[in-house]
Amino acid sequence: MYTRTAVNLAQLTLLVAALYIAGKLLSSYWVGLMTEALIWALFALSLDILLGHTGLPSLGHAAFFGIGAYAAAIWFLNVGQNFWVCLAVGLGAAALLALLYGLLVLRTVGVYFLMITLALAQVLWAIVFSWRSVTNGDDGIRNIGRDHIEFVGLRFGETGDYFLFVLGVFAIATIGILVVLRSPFGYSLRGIRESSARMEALGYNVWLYKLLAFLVSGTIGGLAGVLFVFDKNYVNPEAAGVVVSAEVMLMIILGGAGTLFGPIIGAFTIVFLSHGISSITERWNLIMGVIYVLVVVFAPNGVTGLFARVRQPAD
Amino acid sequence: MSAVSVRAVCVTFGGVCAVEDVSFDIPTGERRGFLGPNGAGKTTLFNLIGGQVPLNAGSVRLFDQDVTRMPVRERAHCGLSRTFQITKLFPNLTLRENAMLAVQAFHPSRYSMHRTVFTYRDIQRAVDELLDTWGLSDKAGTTVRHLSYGDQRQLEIVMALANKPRVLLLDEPTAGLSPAETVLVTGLVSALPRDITVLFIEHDMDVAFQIADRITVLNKGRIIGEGEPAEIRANVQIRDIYFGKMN
Repeated sequence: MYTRTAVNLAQLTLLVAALYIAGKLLSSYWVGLMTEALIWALFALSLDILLGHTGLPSLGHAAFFGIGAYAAAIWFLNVGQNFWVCLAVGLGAAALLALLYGLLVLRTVGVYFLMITLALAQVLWAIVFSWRSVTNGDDGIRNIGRDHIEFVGLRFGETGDYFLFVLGVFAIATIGILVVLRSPFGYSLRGIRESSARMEALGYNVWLYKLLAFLVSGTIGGLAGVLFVFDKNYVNPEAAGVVVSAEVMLMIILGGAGTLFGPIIGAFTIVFLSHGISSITERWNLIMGVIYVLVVVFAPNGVTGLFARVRQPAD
Repeated sequence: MSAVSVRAVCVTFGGVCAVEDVSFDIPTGERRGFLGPNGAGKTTLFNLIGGQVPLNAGSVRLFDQDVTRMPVRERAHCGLSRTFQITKLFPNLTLRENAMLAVQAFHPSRYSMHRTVFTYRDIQRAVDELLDTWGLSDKAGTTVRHLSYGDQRQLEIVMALANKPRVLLLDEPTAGLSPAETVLVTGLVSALPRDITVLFIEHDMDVAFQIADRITVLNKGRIIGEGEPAEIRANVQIRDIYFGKMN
């Protein structure tokens, strides 16, 4: 138990070290892609708290990504350009939305939960799309300059420096998620996933745990959104759209739900594959679709599940 | 004082009465067996005591506290613990993790997320003790769905006992067990300290007569007899209803 957490920390350290070295060696094109993959990995990890660990298949997670990105962007352009304040605003907005959505969706389970999370995310998307005076509608918000931002010698305007910043945030957030998942709270979430009736009978307030899971997950989703907006320097309604919700879910399924490294592997695989394939053919979505089907058929527990089966045939 | 007091309870499912006008009192420390043919309302009775099923009429009291409208989790904190007819464990977690979830259910830090659960020495010690006491330590690392059915039933009872309940509901604790496993579970239940009041549903007559101080017989949602095992065994009417199809 102790050792498993220690092993995970060691693996995580290796991963971060490898990415750090890769960031020093590769060209800025690849470093930019790695930044994107890290942001998606963080976003996938946040959804996996709900999907893989609590057993809540939310198909509206883009709402938190979107509101984090938009809140930070709107604050940046209209109020103040301090990055940390923008970050706090993005996280706060995502946390509030998570509480609100949690209160609305947590009475439902299964496919109803899936549909209501999708519907609520589409509500946010529609607001962002149509509230032109604030969000600039489908043109999106542009010109979010990051060139002036500096932190411990990292200039956000430089692709390599921003990558290092995102890598640092990713490392800290992932260690945080690891601790949460191994805490009494995290084990309770997996208990709820396995049998909520048993958890109630043991004396747990299942509803409150789910709400807190929503809050944690949504806030980290918002963090990914803030990192995204300062990476791209723009945001449009797509960030809150159903394609983003579905794509992040596919990342988790591809890598393996309910594992620490599954969502990370899934995010890197999909970001790099979609960029790689789209540079070869315009029909890259078709090929991605085939890959998803193959994974679901041959590795229903994702890539990490495949390895776990090889290592531990009885499990 | 009665540990469990059920007054004139009725439960209907879509117009069909599963339990109808049932009343009984169970004194503290008693082992009470519930017998009856399939569909007699035994599990529904347990579900209404446990809070899993809402009542249409009547009341349920635990140690003189009215729990009729109390949520399931709060009844647990009143000292009520139970197992289910169909095993409800956490199948993809290990035996130890299952026990840990039972132990930490009443822990003040059960919501904490800033420390791993392994740093809570008191939780870990209580889990070790629980598994040692019940002889499950050697299987602690096994994923529960890979345990034998007998081990799973045993684990369910052990988890129900983790927080020192005052009332324990066992829904068919020996169903589906081999003869050897049945002896094990029967011994386990018989050896429970007398400050725990035990209500159990059992189809195996030998087990029921062996464990129970008193037996309540249900048929079609109503109580048709109550008494000590010897009285129940001698009651011709009960025998006819219970074994009706076989004769």
